[in-house]
Amino acid sequence: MSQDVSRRSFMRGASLGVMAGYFGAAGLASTALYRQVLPPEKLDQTDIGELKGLRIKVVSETSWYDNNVFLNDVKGAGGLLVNQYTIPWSVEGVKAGYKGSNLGGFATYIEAELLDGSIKRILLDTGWNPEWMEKRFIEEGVAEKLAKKQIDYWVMSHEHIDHFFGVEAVTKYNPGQDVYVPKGWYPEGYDLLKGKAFPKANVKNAHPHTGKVTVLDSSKVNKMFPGFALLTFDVPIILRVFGEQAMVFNVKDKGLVLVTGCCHMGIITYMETVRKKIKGGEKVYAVQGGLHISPFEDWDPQYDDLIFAFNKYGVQKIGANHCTGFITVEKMIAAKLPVVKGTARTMSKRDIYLGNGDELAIA
Amino acid sequence: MTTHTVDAYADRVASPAHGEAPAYHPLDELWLEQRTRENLLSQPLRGLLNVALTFGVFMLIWYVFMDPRGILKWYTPMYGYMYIRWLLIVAIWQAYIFNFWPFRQEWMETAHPLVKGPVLVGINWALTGLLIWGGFFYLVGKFAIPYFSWPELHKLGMSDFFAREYAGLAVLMAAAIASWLAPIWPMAFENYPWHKLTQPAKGLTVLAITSLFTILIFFFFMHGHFGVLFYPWQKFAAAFPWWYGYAKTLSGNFSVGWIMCGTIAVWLVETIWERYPFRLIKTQPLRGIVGFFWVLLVALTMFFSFNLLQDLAWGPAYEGGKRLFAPDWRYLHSGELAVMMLLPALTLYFYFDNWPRKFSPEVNLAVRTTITVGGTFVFNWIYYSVSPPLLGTQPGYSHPQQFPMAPVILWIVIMMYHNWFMDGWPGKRIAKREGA
Amino acid sequence: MPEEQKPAETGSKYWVGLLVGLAVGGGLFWATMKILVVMR
Repeated sequence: MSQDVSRRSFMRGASLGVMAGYFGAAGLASTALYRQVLPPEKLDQTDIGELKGLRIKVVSETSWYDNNVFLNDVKGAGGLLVNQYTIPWSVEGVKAGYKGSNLGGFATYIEAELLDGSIKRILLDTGWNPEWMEKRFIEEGVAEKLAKKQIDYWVMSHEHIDHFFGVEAVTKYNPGQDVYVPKGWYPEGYDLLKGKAFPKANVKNAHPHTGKVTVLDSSKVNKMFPGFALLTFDVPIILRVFGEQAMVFNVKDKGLVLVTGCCHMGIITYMETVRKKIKGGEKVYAVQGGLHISPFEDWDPQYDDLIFAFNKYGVQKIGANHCTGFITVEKMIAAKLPVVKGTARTMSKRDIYLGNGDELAIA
Repeated sequence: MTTHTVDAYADRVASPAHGEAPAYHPLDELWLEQRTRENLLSQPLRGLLNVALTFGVFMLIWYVFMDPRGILKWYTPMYGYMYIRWLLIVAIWQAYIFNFWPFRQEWMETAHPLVKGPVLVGINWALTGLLIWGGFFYLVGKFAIPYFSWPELHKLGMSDFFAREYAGLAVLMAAAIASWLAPIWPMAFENYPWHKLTQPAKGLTVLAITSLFTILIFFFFMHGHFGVLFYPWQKFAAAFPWWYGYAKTLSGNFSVGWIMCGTIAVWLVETIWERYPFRLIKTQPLRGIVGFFWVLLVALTMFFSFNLLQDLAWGPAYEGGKRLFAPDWRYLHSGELAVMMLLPALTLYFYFDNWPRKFSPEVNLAVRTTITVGGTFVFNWIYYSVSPPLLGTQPGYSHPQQFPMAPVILWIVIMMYHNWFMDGWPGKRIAKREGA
Repeated sequence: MPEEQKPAETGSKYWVGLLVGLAVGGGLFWATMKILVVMR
């Protein structure tokens, strides 16, 4: 009898103790002992080699011309979670647009000078509106180089409409151009590459791709040639897209240059990842491309956090454009960040962006 | 005295604890505690069937109103989440604050659940719509503070999409804070010192006081977020986010995180923990005061613990980071994890008779807590595995337009409708009185 | 339950149980932390 009672007493005390122990340990570990329980940071840096110089040319950064039209297209279809291949994008009647279409596109052309003096040519993304993109590719000499098979690397940053739906403007000039895509593409992306049309979204590809498709994932630093690597990020993105890859260049005597499409993973995250994974990553010399902060000219205090944090990374040049957002760049300038200005021509709206036709040279 | 078998335990939270003596006479009892129900089905069929039923209703409502592949597509996500949070607080007001006034006990006991359910849910939806559109969008937003109103923000020049999202966030946070503070009164204070009032005076008084506190908490913890949300910062109208130095973020998500933990802690204490340990205090208002701080301690423990668990799983966040590495998203996600904790707890409480009940209180609570904590990890894993095909979401933990709290709370709201408004039918029903 | 009429004893066994429980509970949380780091 008394043994029963004392066993019961023990069980009662033990039950209370287990609960108090678990939650008490949780409370202590997460507050007073936080620093002690967190494992130390591990750096795992890869040497990607060096380049002599870099020339980054903005072919097009005006992905769409009227924010309100774009947002209305999205809202009408059901919001930013809806599959981009099913949204009826506005291709006519847009006053601020290109020939009435709201569609423009994003693409960047890069020439990298290796230490031995040779030049490698890279195309990043294909834009959105094939007509606009073809015009810009011709104007910047990219179309000619594609046709002459002089483009060494065609990289797709991610599957978004404004980076990929203009693909036929590239495959028209060289359907056999090998392409590198980040892991995470949906079947529709590969179908579009091969020539399928999506009439609801006003997209087609009249020049099916015949080259090799290489999928790069986030398991390692993808070294392409000395001084150039690609990093893939497993990041969920609006409009039913997943995964983005971004470029890292290492310019001798200067440091790392980061070139992005949209940087959906976040520029601070990109710089932190580079710091941990790339030799020399403590020093990012320059950042160029879309930084996806306030593309719709909306805001979130999280972006103020980003601007405050940016200051700490010692970046010397910021060539922002496209989905960065004008509010963001105005705030960067107010925070005395080293923003490189452009010339606001060829349908780029303001000179605080590195706009269409503008160039960033690092040597 | 009734002679048929009834399941009197589960409803009588204020009943004398196992082994406690003498019995504590409660100051005030809710109809939800007084009602006596009988089982129409036995376990585990009753539990499983009811879970399946509420899940089925949830999926239907999700498809019609929220799913990006569905009909209205309100999960953008703040707009849809705003409605879900308001459905919840209005249900709390109906069941806990107004104790189902103006419906009389006789009607509550005798009306069929298929009549009670639609009537009470209908009132719930109507009030939600009225308060959001009439109250916030066209009154508060128009004549007091624009950021509470979708039409007003749009009129001031903001894009339609973001006007709806920003206003949605403001309106839902008001409901979230209220859903933490409002139930404290009947639960911890037993409506002291207004327990002797009759309805609706009692309900209106508790509503007024808790709304006052809600408004104060909102202004201290969320208004600053809206001050820096717009460009330029509205620095004269709102204090700078004072939590910035500690939290490493300007975002009010820091507050959203622990407040969401608060809204969950209230229900964990009310259900699987049977209001221990403050129920041992016999006098009010001491019991209520200790109860309030106990809930707050539980909430903050959950908040900090979930922050730590994320930092261990993914590495620490850093200032200016985005997605998984954004400090403000981590705080928010702690709130999301807390909501995932409530689902197993409520399932155990509503549908499995708060098992176990036959041991001493410490043992009962420990077993339930183990089930809840284990269930949280399991549900977390299941959610992220199945939600893309089931709910139309994108894969990944941190997505700019996703907020797992929304679907999980919607399912919880359905469970509350089912148990509060429909007595858990067809698993249970109100026990028929014998004699007079 | 008929055999539990009196309030439970909080004799030495209760406190022994409490201490054992605290250790077990703390250990379980420590294990939770370790599992999360290993799974990273």
